[in-house]
Amino acid sequence: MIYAVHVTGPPPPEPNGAVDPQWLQRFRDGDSAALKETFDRFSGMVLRLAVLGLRDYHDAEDLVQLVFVRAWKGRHTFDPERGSMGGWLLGITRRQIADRYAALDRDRKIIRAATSLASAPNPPSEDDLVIDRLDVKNEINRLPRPQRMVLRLAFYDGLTHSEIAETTGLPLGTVKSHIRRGLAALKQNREVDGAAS
Amino acid sequence: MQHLDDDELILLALDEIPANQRAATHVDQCAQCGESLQSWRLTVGTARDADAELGPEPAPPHVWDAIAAELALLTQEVLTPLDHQAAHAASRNPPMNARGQQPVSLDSRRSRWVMPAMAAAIGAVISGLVVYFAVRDDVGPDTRDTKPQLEAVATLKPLLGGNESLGEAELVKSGNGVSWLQVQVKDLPVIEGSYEVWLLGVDGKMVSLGVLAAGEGNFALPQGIDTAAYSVVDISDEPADGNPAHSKNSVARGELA
Repeated sequence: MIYAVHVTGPPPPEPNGAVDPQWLQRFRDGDSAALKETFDRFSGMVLRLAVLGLRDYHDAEDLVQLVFVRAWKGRHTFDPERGSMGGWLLGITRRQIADRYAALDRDRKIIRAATSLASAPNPPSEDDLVIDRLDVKNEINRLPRPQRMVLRLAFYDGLTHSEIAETTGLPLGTVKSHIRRGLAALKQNREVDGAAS
Repeated sequence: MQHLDDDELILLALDEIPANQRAATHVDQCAQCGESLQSWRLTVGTARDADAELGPEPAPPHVWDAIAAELALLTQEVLTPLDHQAAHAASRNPPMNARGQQPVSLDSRRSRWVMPAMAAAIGAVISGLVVYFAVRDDVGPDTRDTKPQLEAVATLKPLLGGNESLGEAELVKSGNGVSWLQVQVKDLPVIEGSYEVWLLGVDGKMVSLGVLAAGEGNFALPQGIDTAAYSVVDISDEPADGNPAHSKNSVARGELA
């Protein structure tokens, strides 16, 4: 299927972009292989959003399960004419994360928010600046986790800053700050590397 | 003239619409900001390349397994029925739980099966003993072999809709005389219940070997079962209804050869 090729290089389609109509039709028709393809393509996005939103990896995995089970049970309500699969899953993810938040008691929510603010990304160390330019994957993977996930959501998953903020519950300013710091770290790496070579 | 800050430049580099048009027009007119934007664009390009190379990074396989398992309990579709002959045979000879570990339900719907099922169980025990002693003779000092032996393989195929192999079941006999069925399948249809592995006998009898999860499993065969007679491996869709009988909804089948 079309998504198999993305791993090997060509840029992925944005979730809001065009997708293979047959795959979507098979999904609607209840072909479980199409659900697996959907999982392979979009579970990363849902997991990233869930980790950012819930700040707990295990909760986030549970939420991925919930989102895809919901999606499958509600597959008849998915209308390819009205939106992309990515956008549809984004909506389900947003509601699920919001539900989890509603279920959290206020204190815990405040603690989580405080933790979120306190865990400001660290500046890159000297070691971090020595990069292998050929292995661009490392650059992304070396970023602090929230920055990395926000950048991946923005670039690979094609989400806007507002979509990331609305879905995860993070303040828009935090999302922008992650993107800015992440890109700044990448830029610095690139410039230091360029000067050294 | 006020230059753009990094936030504004990054938004431009990301091709997100800036909050106001000032940034867009400014960068067209200001060489310094234009240069900064170029630099940010290169960085964004690097990041996009890196992300494309990383691929979608899906959630771990165990998350998929959990989804598949949960949906197996919920899907509404009625799946492939047993083929006609086996279904007919099954109605004459009700299945029993192979190892006799599950109590036979005594509700009215099933009570008429209790006597034949018990008779079948007794029969299985007797034939089991016969085979057991035969096996004991077989593993005398001369023929003792501690290595597991592959005795037969069944290629598992869907009952309807396609002739492609879904996987295999290998009949293996270990050195201590215990036979195992090693099942490995993929792309089974999403089902309502759990996948249960059975051996079907030539006479319409069947034995359950247990529940298959995550596409693979090793199942010890009931001691003494005659695998020449129970030569068909069957995977069924079993609802969690407490009824130990075969649901008659088979999703895959293959003959040991």
